[in-house]
Amino acid sequence: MAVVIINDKPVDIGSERLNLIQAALKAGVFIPHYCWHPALSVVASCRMCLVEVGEKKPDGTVAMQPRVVPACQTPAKDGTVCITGSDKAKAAQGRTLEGILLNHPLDCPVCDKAGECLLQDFSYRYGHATSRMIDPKNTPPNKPDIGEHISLFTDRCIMCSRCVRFTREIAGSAELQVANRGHHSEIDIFPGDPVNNKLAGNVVDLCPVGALANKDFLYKQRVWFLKSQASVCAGCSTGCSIHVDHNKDIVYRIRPRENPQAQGYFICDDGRFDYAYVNGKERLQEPLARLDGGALSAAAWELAIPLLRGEFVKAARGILPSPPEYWGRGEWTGRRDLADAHRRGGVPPGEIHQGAVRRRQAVSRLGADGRCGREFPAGSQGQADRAGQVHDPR
Amino acid sequence: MLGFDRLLADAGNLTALYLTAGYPPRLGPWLDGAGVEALAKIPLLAVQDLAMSPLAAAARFVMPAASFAEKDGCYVNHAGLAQELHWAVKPGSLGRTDGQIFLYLLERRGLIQAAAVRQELAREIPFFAPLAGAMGEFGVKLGGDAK
Repeated sequence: MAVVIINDKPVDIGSERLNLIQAALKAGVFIPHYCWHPALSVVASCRMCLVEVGEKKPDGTVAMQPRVVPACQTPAKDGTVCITGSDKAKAAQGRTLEGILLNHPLDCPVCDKAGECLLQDFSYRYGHATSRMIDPKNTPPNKPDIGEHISLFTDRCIMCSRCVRFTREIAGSAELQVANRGHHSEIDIFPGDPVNNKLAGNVVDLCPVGALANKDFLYKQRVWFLKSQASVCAGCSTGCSIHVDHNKDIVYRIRPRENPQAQGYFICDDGRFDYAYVNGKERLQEPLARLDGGALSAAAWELAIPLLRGEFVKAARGILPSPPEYWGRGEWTGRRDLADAHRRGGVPPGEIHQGAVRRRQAVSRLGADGRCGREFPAGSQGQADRAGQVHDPR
Repeated sequence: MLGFDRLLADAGNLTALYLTAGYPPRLGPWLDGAGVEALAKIPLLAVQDLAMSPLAAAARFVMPAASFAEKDGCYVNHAGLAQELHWAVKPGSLGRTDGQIFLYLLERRGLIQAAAVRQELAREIPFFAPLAGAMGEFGVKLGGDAK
């Protein structure tokens, strides 16, 4: 079993192949990171997860590496020592954030990601309070229609390349790419090839800042007003785990919920964007019933439920459903013969009614000729018809 | 258990049908003209659905259904994984979700509790035995590991 020491705390990672970010999470320590994601390849480009790493030798001495290294790129093996909160590591984290924030616009008041932004969170916990930037910030033009559901605020991008790797490795369509180099690099698409794959919405969840936005949710609600409920998508039989973000009985968005047993980390756009009907105007809100034999009209619950139950109970007992003139009046007791029912288009001829079967069996017990010893006037309901069916004598 | 196609084929022999549906209306009504005509002949037809549709318009009773975001329960996916569902928003019918309507019709007292229904289900049908316990964050597999 491999034992890794994170901030002087040993943690057994068993035989799993983990990097130091994952090993640290097992020890309850969070190493800030932007570009690493468990479902994507490792690039170690953001430099946010820089930590001090060393090795504990069998004789007990610890040899630390002279420079900080990215934790996402460092495999955790037996004897690895990782220090995340040392002066060197903290200085590295602070400088990384300063570098990212140099050209980052002050968009928090108008940015959708505020409240769930990793740049905000990490700056608060690991960053500097002031900026040394005195030059004008780089402001590349935004791309509001980079996809049917996706909009890109290019100036907010921190070039973590999660979206590029997602479209390349997971979606397979590779629409997004890094264009230009160095100071001018930005995320872009090939002209005429927008991000319209079935998994496109996931790049918005992956983006650590508010660069990629979901046009469906843009400017609709602040995330700190939203409550999140764990649920399951009803769009198809995959049953992806989701979060339903809602406020005041209105559903504002659907996000994927990680479930290694169901769908993993991502959900498709069909499930993600198909929630508008929940609060739609076309939704039925109250029972409808044909009370006067005519059109469907709204019925109170106190009326509709007993009526519905009554009709079904009667149907289960073999009494044909009441004809239109009896609807809503509760007087129907089934005193109609089968011939009328057939004329109305109900039970077809030859179909033996359940109640009639019981009574026919009762009559045959009394006499082989089907007579029960009583004489019925011709044409009355008590007389058996030619098919041997007995009418309901009630 | 009958397939839906078999139900449509046998609709002429039915006296009463209570049909529950809840398909998201993204792609339009979920039953077409021929199917609606077949079911409309049933003398006592009750439809429980999210919105009005040609089938609901032909029914004698129409009850409002709750969407996935409005009711507690569980879904079983194609691979046999049963996951718990929790309500997030109140339905227009104000708490009278599908399960609550069934309780009313069965004249059972109290409010619908998904966990209690699952335990009943687990007792009655051995296939659903894993639903009796806690479902967990990721759900439980039904029908053994081989699926």
